[in-house]
Amino acid sequence: MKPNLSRLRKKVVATNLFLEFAASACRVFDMMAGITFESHPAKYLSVAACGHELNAIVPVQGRWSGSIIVGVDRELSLLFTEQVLGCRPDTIDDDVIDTVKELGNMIVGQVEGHLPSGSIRMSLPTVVIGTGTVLGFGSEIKPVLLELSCPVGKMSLLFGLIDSSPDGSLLVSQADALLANA
Amino acid sequence: MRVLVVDDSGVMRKIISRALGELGINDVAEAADGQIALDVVKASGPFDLVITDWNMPVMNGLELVQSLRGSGCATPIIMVTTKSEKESVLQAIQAGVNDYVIKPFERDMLRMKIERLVPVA
Repeated sequence: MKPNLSRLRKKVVATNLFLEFAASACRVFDMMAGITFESHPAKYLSVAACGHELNAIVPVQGRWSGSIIVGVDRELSLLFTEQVLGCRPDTIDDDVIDTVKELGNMIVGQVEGHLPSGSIRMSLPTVVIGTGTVLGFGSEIKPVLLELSCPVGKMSLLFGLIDSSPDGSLLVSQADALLANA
Repeated sequence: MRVLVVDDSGVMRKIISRALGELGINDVAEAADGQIALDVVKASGPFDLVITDWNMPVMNGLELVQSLRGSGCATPIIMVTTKSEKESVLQAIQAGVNDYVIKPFERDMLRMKIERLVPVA
């Protein structure tokens, strides 16, 4: 049977996009705070909820539009803040919230710079605090979750994106086959 | 040695101020956007070094650099930003920045760039 080259190509594009974000997250944590991660298989979600205490929602526009949510466990956010500022916050304060916001900014901003012009244009992140908040991306988007863990806790990248390129279909459907085969 | 740190992220201002502190530079003023930075310069006189972000509300870092250079300010300027495209780096250099640091960065690298531009005791 002949492979569907168009679908294969889209699958590669989607894979590269998600992996680019995972690599970016690893670089940010490593360079800024000396924290290294293991990665876990991607998950294809029917309902997306904030599974972490702190979540930076980064709106993006361009070829891929929607939102990317950078979620961080409480302990991990406190450790990252301690590493970059040199003192450990007692609780989730403005410094921790600012740090998670900056994390979203750096992780997505770094990928924006690596992709062809117009692929992604990010806006300023907003931080949502607390677990369990259900995120509505609309019926046409099936979100994809990538999780990374270290001994202190986990962080995740939740993608709710649409590929709006002229020849494109939904990015998530491109990723579907990838994830099914992961 | 007086340094002005311009970034809309409070935590990024603290990270940069920490790196400056490690070099023994403790006279650090902060501003959350380019317009506030210009007001600080107007009110307190020139600085020995300006470290600025690019993406900020009200007035961005590039506009700040253009405004400072347009007024004849020769203070060394380091741009610290997530913008890593070649076009952005060239645009910043053309506007008059002396060095360019892409976020994320290691503090050692930022310290090295600062030391290269200003004499640190």
